[in-house]
Amino acid sequence: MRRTDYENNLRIDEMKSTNRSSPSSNDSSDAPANVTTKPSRWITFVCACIMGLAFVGFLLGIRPQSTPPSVSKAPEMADSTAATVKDYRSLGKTGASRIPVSLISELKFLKPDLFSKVDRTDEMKADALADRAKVRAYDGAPPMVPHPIDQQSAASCLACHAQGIVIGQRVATRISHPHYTSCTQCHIETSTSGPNEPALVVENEFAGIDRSGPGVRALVGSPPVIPHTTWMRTDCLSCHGLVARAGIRTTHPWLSNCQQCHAPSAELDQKYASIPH
Amino acid sequence: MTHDRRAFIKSTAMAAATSLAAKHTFAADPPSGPPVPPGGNELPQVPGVVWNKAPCRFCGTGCHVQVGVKDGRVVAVTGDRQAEVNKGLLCVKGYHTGMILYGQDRLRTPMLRKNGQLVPISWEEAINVIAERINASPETFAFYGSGQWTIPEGYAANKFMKGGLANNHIEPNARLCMASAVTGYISTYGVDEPYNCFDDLDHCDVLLLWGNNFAEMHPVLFSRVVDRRLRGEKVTLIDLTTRTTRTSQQSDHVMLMQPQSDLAIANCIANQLIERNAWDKEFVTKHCNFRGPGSPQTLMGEPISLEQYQSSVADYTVEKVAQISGLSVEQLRLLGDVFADKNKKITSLWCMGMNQHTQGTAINNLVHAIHLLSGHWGKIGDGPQSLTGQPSACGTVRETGTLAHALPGDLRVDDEKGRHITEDIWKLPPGRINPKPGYHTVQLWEKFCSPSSAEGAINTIWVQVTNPGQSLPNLSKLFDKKAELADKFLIVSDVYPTATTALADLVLPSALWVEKNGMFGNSERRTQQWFRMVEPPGEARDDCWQILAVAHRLLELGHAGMKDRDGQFIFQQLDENTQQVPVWDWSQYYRINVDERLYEEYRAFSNIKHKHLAPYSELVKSRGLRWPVVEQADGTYQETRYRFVEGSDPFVKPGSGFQFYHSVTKDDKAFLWFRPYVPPPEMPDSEYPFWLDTGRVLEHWHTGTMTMRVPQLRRAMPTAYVEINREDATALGVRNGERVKLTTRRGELTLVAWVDGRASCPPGHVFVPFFDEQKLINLLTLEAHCPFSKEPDYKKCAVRITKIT
Repeated sequence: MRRTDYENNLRIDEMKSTNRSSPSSNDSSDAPANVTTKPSRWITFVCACIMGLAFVGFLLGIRPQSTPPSVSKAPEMADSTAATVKDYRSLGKTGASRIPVSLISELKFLKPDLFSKVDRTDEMKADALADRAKVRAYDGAPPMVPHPIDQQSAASCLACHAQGIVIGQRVATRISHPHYTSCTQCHIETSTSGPNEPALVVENEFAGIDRSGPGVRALVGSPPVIPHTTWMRTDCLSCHGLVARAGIRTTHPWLSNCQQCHAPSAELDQKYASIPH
Repeated sequence: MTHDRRAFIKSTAMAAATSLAAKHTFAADPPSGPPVPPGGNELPQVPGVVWNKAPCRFCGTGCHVQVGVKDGRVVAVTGDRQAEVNKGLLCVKGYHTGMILYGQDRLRTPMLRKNGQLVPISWEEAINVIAERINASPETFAFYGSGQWTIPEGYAANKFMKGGLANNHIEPNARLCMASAVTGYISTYGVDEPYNCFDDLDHCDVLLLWGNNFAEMHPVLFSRVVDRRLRGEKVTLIDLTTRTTRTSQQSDHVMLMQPQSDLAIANCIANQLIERNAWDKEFVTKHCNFRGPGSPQTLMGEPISLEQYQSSVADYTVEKVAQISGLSVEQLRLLGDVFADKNKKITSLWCMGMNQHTQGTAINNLVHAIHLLSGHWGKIGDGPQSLTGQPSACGTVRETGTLAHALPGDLRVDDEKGRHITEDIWKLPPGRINPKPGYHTVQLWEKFCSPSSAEGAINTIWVQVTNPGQSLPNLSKLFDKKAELADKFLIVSDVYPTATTALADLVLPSALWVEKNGMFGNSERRTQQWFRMVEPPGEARDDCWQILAVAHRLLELGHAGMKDRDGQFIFQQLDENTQQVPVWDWSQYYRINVDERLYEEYRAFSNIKHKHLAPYSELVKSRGLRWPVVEQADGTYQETRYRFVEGSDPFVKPGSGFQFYHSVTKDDKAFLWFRPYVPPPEMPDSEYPFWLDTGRVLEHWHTGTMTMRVPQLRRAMPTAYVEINREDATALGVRNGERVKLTTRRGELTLVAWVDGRASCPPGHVFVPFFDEQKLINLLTLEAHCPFSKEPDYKKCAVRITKIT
């Protein structure tokens, strides 16, 4: 039953996406609301839709065949480990649990309950950190963007990354430095969404530093200190909150004053004065 | 008479008020150390990693980074939170700078071409080959360097050429990049370099971008502006551009102009200010002289009266300029409104759009002029400022004078006094320096690509830290011809194989960035210093050492120029026991800090034109200091944020408000220029119907030799493309991703078409980035250049596009 719903929804999604350029398509998906109450209006409406679609189809038909498609070819994988998806909708399909929705606005409400139990094993944690490392040249480098970006504006990034979204097993973490707005200045795609002809390919022998965790505990049972720099991370919950990779989610999301218990370690407090230059 | 007296009292009172206001403005915002960024000043702590400061290797912004080193290798890079320029932030290139050291094909050994093949040789043989070649014919030798030379490298090369070989054929790639800004500053203020600084970006109300894709080219500075909006500040961005870019996406007004029409637009703004009586009579009368181009136009032009100025700009009505520029009358009026508004602080920025221009000097003059005319000048956030694309175009090229006509400290070879001062500091016998300027870049490569029998031919060029085989315009004419001329000899010092090493006869492996000591000067007069942190790979060695080694070998060969008037080696360095340190011997080179020695010697030049550079020891402690850096009574050093402005610049006479103390007319006044609109030398026609524009993209820097070896950057932008408008693509029957052939009068190139991609050209225009060494767009570009700056125009020529079937 669930599966069928999902597939039905998928079909509607596909219809929506194929007709996205036509303004009448949104109306057609609203149509069923009128079905039971006013049959005559329904018939008029369907006729109007059919005629509208036919007219749009006619216009499309008479356009020259050489019109460049607006979507460029599928991006190349960044490397064998970093998963890349073709579009936002297929993000859901890559996960184990299929979510029967496609609209980002609906996805935003799909968050675990604040008090639901958080399962966390060492394995999950290792997975989460490995996943995190895939899109970084070294610990401290800005993460790459594992999906095509439309290059249009910060607003399009923030559509998902302002609040954070979980789609299947993939997580769009929420921005941890909202005081910066020129996203593409630091975050670029793992592979191009533009022309991609054979390029000059030279191997690079750089080996960057790895993550610095786990955090030290003073005593058994003490809260661990923060094992990484907090620079540019004004919001712990962007990586550790409800919408986060499973292995590094906090087990106690209802406590929001993180640094009350988790201190930056004394070692981390290395000031400029203590280094030579 | 009464009227005159009243006017005089009024103007005096206003001047006093202005100077007070100026003082107040600067006093209210003291440089009280860098602000503490969110997240604090901590560095990431990783066991075994040692952090140290360095300026970023790439553009002229001059961000400081902290470089993490572990076991002799760079393992991380982070933004330096104490740096005023970037306040801890970097761009994607900056974050990946550390990786440029580790491309697998780093050059590791000197190589000489024998029977067509580059074969490894020893350093000793390499140095011998160069020295013998120069000794055989010193006057046909030329040095071609770079705005990526460190300050000591550029200084050493300049002294070697002009002081040692009495040969002025030394040029930098910066000729292709910011020469027009230099002539613009010199012919406006009498002395080179921006008077203002990046602090403007934190205070301007309006940011006017003149042909500058700021978001991709200087991303950190762009963020410094747009992030202000999130703090609730209002800043209006006006993008005056020939194509819609990421900058346009964040701009309030996008004004698409026709190439070259910036000249007409600037004059139109001036005309509106005059027409509306909205120009700043007080400021102009006190601080400016009107200047006309002369006939024919000259660099310094001729004096003109206010009436002549008014009648010259009167031609540039909004209606007429709307025709030339493609801007609407409303857009032009909006620009007029902006400059007429005294309460708004306007910052104008430009880079290659105005500099790579056949009227580059003229448009630089005009943008300064409209700021001077409107009085939008000299206050924080209110003035014109040029940006540079290379890390030390200012610090090295402009300040140490590695141009064919220049000497350190803004002196000139064709000025007797300048030569005397230089010979004195260099302890050379009088008359050593050749008074005739050498060849400028385009000429230099033309002479190298001419048969040796030709008049004035150049036979040997030594290239350091740049890639002319990709970056020169009209490559077939200015570079590739070398392949046909057997007796030409090309020496290239570089870190990777490039389009230039492909034709080189001798290749020298160089140390890169933090593999050596270094100093840069960014585009806001900030001199920066760093120490060597890791060893260069293989046998790679410092560029500066290479110069000193060749100079010493020439001394051994008996070249008289390598001795000063006391018979000592011109690069002699003594240790604390007054024993000579053999710096030409690589094993001894780091026994002393050669950078510090050369810089301290060179620093004497900086005082000649009030460009006082900070002592090396002060730079070690800082994240760069903006000159003039003047010693205070208490022994501390104070940098200068705004030159010529009382309250900021210590050299300005108290009570004057503003003082252009290097004024050409020696009356402390700047030139307020009129320059006419002149059409570009090549425009689209029926045979070549499109405009071709070239430039950079965010991920890659210059010719991509470094950034193409960083996988993260290469994957995001792997290839050059042609950006083409949807309408044009449709008309040509070209789909996204299909291949097209671009043809100009100089060459042809096949590229992939990109429609509605990252940026978008208007119909009739195409854009191609120049980073891809497999797709050399400079085979197609034009070598026509500005008559005064000699900087070629890479931004506009006529091209034909055909679909490949």
